[in-house]
Amino acid sequence: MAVEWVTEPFDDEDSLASLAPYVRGWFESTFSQLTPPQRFSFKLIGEGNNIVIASPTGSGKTLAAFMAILSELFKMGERGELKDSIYCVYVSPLKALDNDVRKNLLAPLRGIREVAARDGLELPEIRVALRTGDVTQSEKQRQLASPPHILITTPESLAVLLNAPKFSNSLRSVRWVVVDEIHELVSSKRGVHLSLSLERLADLVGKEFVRIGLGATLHPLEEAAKFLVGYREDGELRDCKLVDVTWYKPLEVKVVCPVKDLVHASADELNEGMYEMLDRLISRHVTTLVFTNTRSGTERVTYHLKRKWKEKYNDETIGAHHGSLSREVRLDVENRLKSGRLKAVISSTSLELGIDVGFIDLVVQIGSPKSVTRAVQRIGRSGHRFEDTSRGVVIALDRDDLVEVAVMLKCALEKRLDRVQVVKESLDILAQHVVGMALQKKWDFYEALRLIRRSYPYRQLKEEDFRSVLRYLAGHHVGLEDRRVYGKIWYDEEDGVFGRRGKYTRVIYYLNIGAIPDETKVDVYRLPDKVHVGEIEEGFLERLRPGDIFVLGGKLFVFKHARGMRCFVESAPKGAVPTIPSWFSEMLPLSFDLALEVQRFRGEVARMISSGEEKRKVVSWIASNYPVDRRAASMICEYIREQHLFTGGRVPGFKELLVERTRYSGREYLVFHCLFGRRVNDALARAFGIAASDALGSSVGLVVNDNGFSLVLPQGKEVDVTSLVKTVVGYDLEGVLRSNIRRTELMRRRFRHVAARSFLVLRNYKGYKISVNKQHMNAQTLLRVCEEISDDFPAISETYREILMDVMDLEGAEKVLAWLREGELKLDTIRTSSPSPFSHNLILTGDADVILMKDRRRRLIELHEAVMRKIRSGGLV
Amino acid sequence: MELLRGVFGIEPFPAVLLKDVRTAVIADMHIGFESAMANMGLFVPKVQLSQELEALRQVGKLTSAERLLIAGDVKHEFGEFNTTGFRELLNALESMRRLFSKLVVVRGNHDTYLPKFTGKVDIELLEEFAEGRYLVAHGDVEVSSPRTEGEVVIIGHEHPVVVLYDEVGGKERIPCFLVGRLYDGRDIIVLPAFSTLVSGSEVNVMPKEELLSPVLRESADVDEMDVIGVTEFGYMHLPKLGVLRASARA
Repeated sequence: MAVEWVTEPFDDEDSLASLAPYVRGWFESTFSQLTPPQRFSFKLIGEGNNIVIASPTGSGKTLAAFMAILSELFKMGERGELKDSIYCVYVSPLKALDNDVRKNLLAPLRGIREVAARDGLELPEIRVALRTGDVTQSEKQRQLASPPHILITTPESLAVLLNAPKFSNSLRSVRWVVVDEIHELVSSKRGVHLSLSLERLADLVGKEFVRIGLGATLHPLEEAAKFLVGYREDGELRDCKLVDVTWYKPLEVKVVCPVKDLVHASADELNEGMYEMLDRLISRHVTTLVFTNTRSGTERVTYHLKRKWKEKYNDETIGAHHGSLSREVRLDVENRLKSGRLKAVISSTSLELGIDVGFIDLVVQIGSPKSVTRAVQRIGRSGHRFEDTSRGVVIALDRDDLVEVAVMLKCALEKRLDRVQVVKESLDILAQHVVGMALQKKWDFYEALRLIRRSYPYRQLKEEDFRSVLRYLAGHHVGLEDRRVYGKIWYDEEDGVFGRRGKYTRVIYYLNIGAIPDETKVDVYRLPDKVHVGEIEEGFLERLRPGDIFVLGGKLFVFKHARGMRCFVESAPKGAVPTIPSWFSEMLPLSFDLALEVQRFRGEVARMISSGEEKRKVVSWIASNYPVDRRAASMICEYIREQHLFTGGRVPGFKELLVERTRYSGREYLVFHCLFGRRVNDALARAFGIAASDALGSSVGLVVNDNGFSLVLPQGKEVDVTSLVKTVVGYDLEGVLRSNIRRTELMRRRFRHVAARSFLVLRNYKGYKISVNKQHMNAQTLLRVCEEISDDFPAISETYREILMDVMDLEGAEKVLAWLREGELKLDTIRTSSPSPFSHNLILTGDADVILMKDRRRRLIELHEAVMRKIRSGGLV
Repeated sequence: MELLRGVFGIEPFPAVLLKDVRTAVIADMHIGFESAMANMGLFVPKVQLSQELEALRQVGKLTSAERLLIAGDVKHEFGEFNTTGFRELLNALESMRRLFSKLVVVRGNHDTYLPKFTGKVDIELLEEFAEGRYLVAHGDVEVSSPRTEGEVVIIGHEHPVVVLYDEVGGKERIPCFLVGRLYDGRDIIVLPAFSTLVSGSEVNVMPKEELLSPVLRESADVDEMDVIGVTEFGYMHLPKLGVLRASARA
């Protein structure tokens, strides 16, 4: 297979000569030169090559992709071969981008015809149309009557169109498919969804079309190529050319600290400092793009900026942008941003996806963006023209952030990206497409399987897994009578054929398609008057215990009780502190590669400190080798020095694992200073938790984050670390996790979403919306029932797969255990009377979970005893 | 295990035996729950009925009860009644009728259209069951005044559940009996739901005003009620509800 890197651009003359003369004429009269990606793409696409182009903002990507296509379309028009049919499909995950691309095509389409007209040539019109969930009925009718030549759409809409009875016929003439923001799609289930759509489209067209992938930088780019092109009938990967021009754009970055003392600054002071800093930065630039990592963060920052500087920051001058906002609001913000009327836009992740945002001269990131690649992608949004420098500032909010970001930005400057994580073989996504396929026609089992396996993520799909999906969709797990309702396809296992069933199935498919799960919102009411104060996620509600204190909309509340999808709270008393992190489900994971770099850095600084280097010298070293100001450098040094002093020199450095036995708030903690990023730590934490639970014969609590994890042990129980480690390094990690994941709450959380994607729980059905049916039955019960049906119930096996492969990094965790086993990762244990500086976050801030004791009978007995103990100690009995 | 004078819990099931009248009492079977869910787009596989019938089989064996009394909500599904649901319920009633010589159903708020079945299966349908010392009702409305001295009231409807936490954050929801007194002096037992799928009232963490049954809200000394958890391994004796609620607040 030829995945071929193309590193030498073509001559401008060569590139332009490959275009039709009037196309060339228009281009030369409009632009003074070709941009770097264009120097590759005009010729390569013109020659019909599949290609992936990684290039930064402002590099003329749209024309890079479309010029050769427009040229070919106009030539067809000249020859009278242009029919009322679709020849090119452009797909991006973001509607805003779709809007932009359509607008950006109008000028060349008009301009090229004008140039041709001047030479006496009348070219037919090339029609471009947008097809997304937002498009009106009348527009859809128009498109049916007069199909566009170029269709611009989203992954979900494409899947719907493949099944549109009449409109899908227009897709049979497709010759080019452009996939934009491919870096975003490669690592998500949305991409897996699109990948199957592309194979179904190829099947519909009946012959190969040219596949063009566009995106920001990612590593390794070969993965993006394989994802885009998939496999041929003969089993070989289709050919693809690779072009990467991302590093042409200069990068200027630094990390700053909003207060002098991150440790002792109160939450208020930290906030004040952050807003002061934000204000300074925004005021000094023309337009700033501010990234927070969460939607709630976006809301909060926007709200406080407006509150503190009413004249400067108001609805006219700044705007918030995230997925939960209405289409109108988002469109309005995007338009004002483009026309330069906004001083700042605050966003969570949506603007990371590239829209032509107009002039942005600074990107501010609040808190760590968690991976080098993401940092580069976000900061790369600034600097409008290709030659403009991308400028970014990261505001660190705690000391772990500070250390992490310093290392991250250095890697960014050195162009060392972290590996992209590819999602594969999702049975829930497959279920959606099988329904779509069944709606189209009757399929032979192997014919369908062959099509599915042409998609890269499904290359290794097992026959049994495909069969179990068919059985599930056909309702074979319920009685014959009930299949009318439960079955969305019929499946004759003996003859090996399947097809559609049920009069509602088409509607179910249209209304429920997609990979993005609907977070079911739980309404929160404040007692005693039951005022609605906001919403939380169902997954978060599951975790809440009566008495827990959490943040919502900037205020503190105490959880009282819940019924169904309604949650009741009281305002927290003065001086209360949160007992549970509010945003756990939205935390992005630190990448494994970057985590190792952070370890190296910590070890280096620790070494300097323990060898007696003067503080001044250490700070200078940090400030001159890493993109941090002196204040930040000083804080980093102080942080590591504190750990050094507190533990008598035991600072975990590169490939050093420190296990700290400590107590906090009346509980025993075993803190593993294990800086490998959340995905690896998720696997390790659960492996250690399982070993501890089995050794102690009791349930064990966990807190996991990027820097390590803690085991929370029940009172009076102690465990020997050395024997614990010995047990865990001897594990068949995948086997142990697979057979024990059921004992964790993580299983329940993920099952919720998989169930929705598998059409087991519908978002929208006969007028019922998902919140209604969730009132009656929770995920836990549904999970239990599905398990009783069979071990390979697809929603269940997909949940296991998602947890082991997407949530956890099994490979990384196995590597760490191998290092431990061979002594490459050195183990050290200490006991402290209270948590060391590095362990604060490992106890208070992270993803909490529980490993339930294996023996359910014993578990109930222990639970009973725990309840009685608590009551007796409270003097209540 | 004797819950009240003459009323025995049929361990480990959410059922009681009225010994002197040889009657087993359960509540809230909610047959057809899965169909109702499927009609709303939640395609939960059907497991409930076979589990319930198996449990009833064992209850019959353990007690040799002559009569099965269901304190309401034998079926789920309000409104539109489809043929598969009809057939499922009919089969269920026939199976139950075969396990016990007599079948009595006290009407619950979900038991619409039940009179349709009295013609097809030999069951007795009542608004309230009053025999000897016992008054069995569903619990969705206030119960009648006392008829005799020492009357025992038995209701369902509430689906009581206790939520228990261990020290490390593990959580379990355990269905339970509530055994106590009404303000008018009568004894009362609230039965846990026999259904394995329906959600319940978390009685140890919610305020009294939020309880579903007006009998409990208005007429019972809720804090003084004994709580007996029902698990597959047997009953779990817990402190009084008031004590459990105070400890949950801490």
